[in-house]
Amino acid sequence: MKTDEILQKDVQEAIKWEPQLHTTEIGVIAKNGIITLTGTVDNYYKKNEAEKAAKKVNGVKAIVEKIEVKQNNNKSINDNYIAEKILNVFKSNFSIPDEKIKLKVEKGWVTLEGNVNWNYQKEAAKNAVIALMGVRGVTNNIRTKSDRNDYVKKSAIEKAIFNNAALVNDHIEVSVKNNDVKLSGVVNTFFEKEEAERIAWKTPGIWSVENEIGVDSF
Amino acid sequence: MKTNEVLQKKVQNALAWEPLLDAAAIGVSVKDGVVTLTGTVDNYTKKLEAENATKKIPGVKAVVEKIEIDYNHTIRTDEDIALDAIDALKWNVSVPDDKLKIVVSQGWVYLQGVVDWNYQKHDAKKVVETLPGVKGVINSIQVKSVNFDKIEKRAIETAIYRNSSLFDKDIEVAVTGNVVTLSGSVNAHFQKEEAERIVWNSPGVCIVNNLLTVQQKVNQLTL
Repeated sequence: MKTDEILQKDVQEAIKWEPQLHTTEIGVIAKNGIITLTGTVDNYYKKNEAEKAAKKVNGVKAIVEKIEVKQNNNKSINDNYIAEKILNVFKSNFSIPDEKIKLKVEKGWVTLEGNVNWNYQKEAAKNAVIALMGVRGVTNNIRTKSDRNDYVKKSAIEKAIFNNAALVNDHIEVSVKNNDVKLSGVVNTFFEKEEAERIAWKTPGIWSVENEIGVDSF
Repeated sequence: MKTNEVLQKKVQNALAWEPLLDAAAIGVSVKDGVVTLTGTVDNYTKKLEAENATKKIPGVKAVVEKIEIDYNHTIRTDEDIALDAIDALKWNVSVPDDKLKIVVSQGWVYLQGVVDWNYQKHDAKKVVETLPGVKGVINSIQVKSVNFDKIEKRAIETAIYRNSSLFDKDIEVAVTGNVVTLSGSVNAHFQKEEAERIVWNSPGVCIVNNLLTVQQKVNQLTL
């Protein structure tokens, strides 16, 4: 296992490797494989990229992300302007059921609410606003409620998970209670953990996914 | 069952698993691990999703994507699409929109211009491909690094080795001038793409030859 000092250095290097980020803006603290990111960047997109870069580093078990996003000084990009743009983006994006989503923008912070049928719709709504000018943060309170009532089939989820090249050799346990799914086991990367969850969320009739998969690299 | 038939079934299952797709509308044919997708969908997002879902399956060596798009009711003119694209690129913080030129012809978006980094080229495509009316995107943006330092092979190798999904793979990095060639093998498509993405982040890179092969392990459970 890597020591915390090596891990800290690796995460700093990984952040430096991303052209859109400046290492000096972001502080990295490592403790028992848990990485805390601090500092201030000028948009939400960079905050997200920093988290993504840190997650991919071998040896990182969890991330505590405390990066702040600067207040926007451009007076012309006010909350009304941002809200209007987001409504347009939602309307034109085929994956987002815009009529079901409510939106609040306060000092650049976007809060999404509403009920959708599928988790990918919730994710699409968030992804559509991450890189927009003036956005300083997103709270995604959209709830997923399937319109189908059939019980979830454990074997179907297992089949879908093991039919994925990244997960084929992983030991992921699936347990099902009515329409709720719990995933457990240990994988090597965050990517695998998240991919397994994405697959589970696509099960017909799914209501909730509890992702207890641990990430432990070498 | 023959390998081709098994793979065909797997691809069909994977397409059926995607809530966005109507699997019955997409034809799947397989020959020696090469999967061809045909059929007609009503937007570009679905076309991309079908390709992505297929790429993830163990045993798929290549995807030939021939899905066509028919926007049955919504008629968007090229001018509508161009205006949307300009606005979307302007609003995106990672794309240097002042360096890009957009041409729209019969629903196809052609992106041109010169940027400093490959992620900007990549993000520009992602921004326009979900706009309504778009039938395809041809990304001809050129990446010209402003950095003229010699590319450090060692730095690239270290960056690849740091990554939790690539550190245990046999990946060879070769550097000639501003061209980087990757060879060796990985287990999944996302690893191949991630290795390439890492190389592109190295200052001074103009061309990446990604010769990594995807050698997937097949699990009996899925048969």
